[in-house]
Amino acid sequence: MDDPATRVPGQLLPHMHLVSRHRFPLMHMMPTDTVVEYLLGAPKIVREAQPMHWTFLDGPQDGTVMLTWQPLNHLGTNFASDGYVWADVEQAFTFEARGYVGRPDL
Amino acid sequence: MPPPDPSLWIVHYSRAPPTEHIPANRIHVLPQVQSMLGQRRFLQSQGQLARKDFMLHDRNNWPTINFPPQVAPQGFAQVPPAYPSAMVGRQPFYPQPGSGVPAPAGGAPAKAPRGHRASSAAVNAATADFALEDEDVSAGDMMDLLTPREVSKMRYQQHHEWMEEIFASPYAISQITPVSLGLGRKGELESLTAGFFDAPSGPTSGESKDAADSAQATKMEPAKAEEFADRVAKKVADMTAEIEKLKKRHARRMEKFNRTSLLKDAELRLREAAADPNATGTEIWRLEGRIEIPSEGDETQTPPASEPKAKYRVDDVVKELETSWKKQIVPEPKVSCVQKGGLLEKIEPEQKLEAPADGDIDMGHADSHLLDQFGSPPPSGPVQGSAPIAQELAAPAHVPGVSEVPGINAPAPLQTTAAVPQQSVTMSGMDVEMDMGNAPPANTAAGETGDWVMVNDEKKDQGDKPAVGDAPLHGIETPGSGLQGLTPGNTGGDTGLDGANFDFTNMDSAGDALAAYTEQNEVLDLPDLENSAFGDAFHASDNENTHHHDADDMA
Repeated sequence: MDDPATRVPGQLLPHMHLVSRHRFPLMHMMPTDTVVEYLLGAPKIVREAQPMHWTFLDGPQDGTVMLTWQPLNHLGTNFASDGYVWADVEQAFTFEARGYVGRPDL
Repeated sequence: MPPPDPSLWIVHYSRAPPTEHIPANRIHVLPQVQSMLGQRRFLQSQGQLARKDFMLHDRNNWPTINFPPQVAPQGFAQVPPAYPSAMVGRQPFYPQPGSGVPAPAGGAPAKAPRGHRASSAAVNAATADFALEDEDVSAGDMMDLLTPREVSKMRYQQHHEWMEEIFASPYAISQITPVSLGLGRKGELESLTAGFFDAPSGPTSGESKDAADSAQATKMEPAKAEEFADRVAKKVADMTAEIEKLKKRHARRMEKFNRTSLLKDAELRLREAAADPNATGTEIWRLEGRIEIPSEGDETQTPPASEPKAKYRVDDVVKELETSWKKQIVPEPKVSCVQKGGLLEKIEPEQKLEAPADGDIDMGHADSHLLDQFGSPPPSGPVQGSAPIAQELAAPAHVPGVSEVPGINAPAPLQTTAAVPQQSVTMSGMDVEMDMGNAPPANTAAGETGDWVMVNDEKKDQGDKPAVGDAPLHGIETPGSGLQGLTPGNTGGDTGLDGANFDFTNMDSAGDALAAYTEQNEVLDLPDLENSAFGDAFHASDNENTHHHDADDMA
């Protein structure tokens, strides 16, 4: 299956993010409801509203919210490097909202 | 609600709660993280990634990003194992750079301005433009990476290396021959250097001449150098002479040019010139400097017209031109006779003097009137058609008419006048022509009935038209038209008009008409008319005249 990540060299993929042009407001706390809302609207955004682009992330500032496309076929759920050194291991939890099950990584 | 796309993630960065804050020095940096950071550093050193937007599902526009070609990054080989868990069931991994779908139309994305490459603190945009295939100027060239100090240092070293080639050489300077300096010339200066220096030659002969070249790259003999200097001096002299020549030619050309413009100048000045700019007067003919005299009663006396005074004297302008052109200025007549042509000279003025002496009416005057007023059309018609007196004159009057017939189409007065005298000479012998003086009344008649002339003009063959009895006007025309029959013989000017040989037989109707002339003869009291050869003709006109009278009566 073809996806945008096939056009990017494998060596670069762990460092690059396909980010939507859609701008979300900067917020320091994000309730899960908002996340669900954003996620539900995401397909529409990428399909109709806003283009995507490959880019580097270099330590985004606190409060940044963005919509990205994760190359699941290539990296799985591993998030490409964003300029931060993560001190601890990944934490995950699940929650349920509106019939969906979310599994945010922390 | 569309099905959720698991590939779409919402990413949110936020500060961890204070309880989970970890001091930076206690963070254990794994080797994987180390290599990841190294790779990032490398990629960032390649410059920015040009941003290309595309819709996620528009696969035709998915950009292809190429790995920087000039590098074989050391740390990249072991990257893939860093994500072992993610490799499950995925597509062929790591496609070869460049083997994928060709880059989208437009090739390399627009080069982003390179700027803060060193400080890659920018949030989103710091990556290499890997799609560039030409020289990677977006990342800058070598000179961008050099500090001015480094540049100066390298230059210093270079210069010293060059100097060392000489000073550290085991050969004395006198022993060192420079390479060929390329003093030879082709083209214009080839003649100058031929024999002394080798001109650069094309690649065709280059091979064979290489040996010779190296042999000739030697020092020049002093004598030869002197010879060369001489040749150069000569060449320079020649060129200087040529320059002088060209300059002279140019000067001549400019002088000519200026003289022409002088003409134009003078012409412009003539427009404002007067014969005597200062002369003034009240004469009406004065174009300039005229003083208006207010007419009496003209109370609203206008001040003298403020027309500009002539600035130049005509004589001055003329003189100036004459001196500058060294030529005489003469007035040019509007008409100048190039060649006199075959026409006979006009001797009429004497006739004019004689005729009045013979008769009581100024024939010359009549002639002039006829000629002036009628020009080309034969005046005979009007003459006959008018007053009774003119009737007797029909024949004499016809004669000028006849003479003028050739001139119908050529109204130049010269022709008619040239022909007239000869006829009048003929007539003078017959004492008839003096009565031509009656032509002036005829003229008036012609003025009344101008269309007669026209009829005469267009119809030459009207002689056979029933002169008598028809429309009165026609009868009047006939003599004229009959006389026109004479024209062929008359064109020569002297053939048919010779005195008694004057042949009127051609005018049939006119002759008939003239037969009745005598009826009015007494009234006219013309002397010796019966003796004249024109008697019959007069009768004819008389006859016609009667009809004319009828016509008048009728009118």
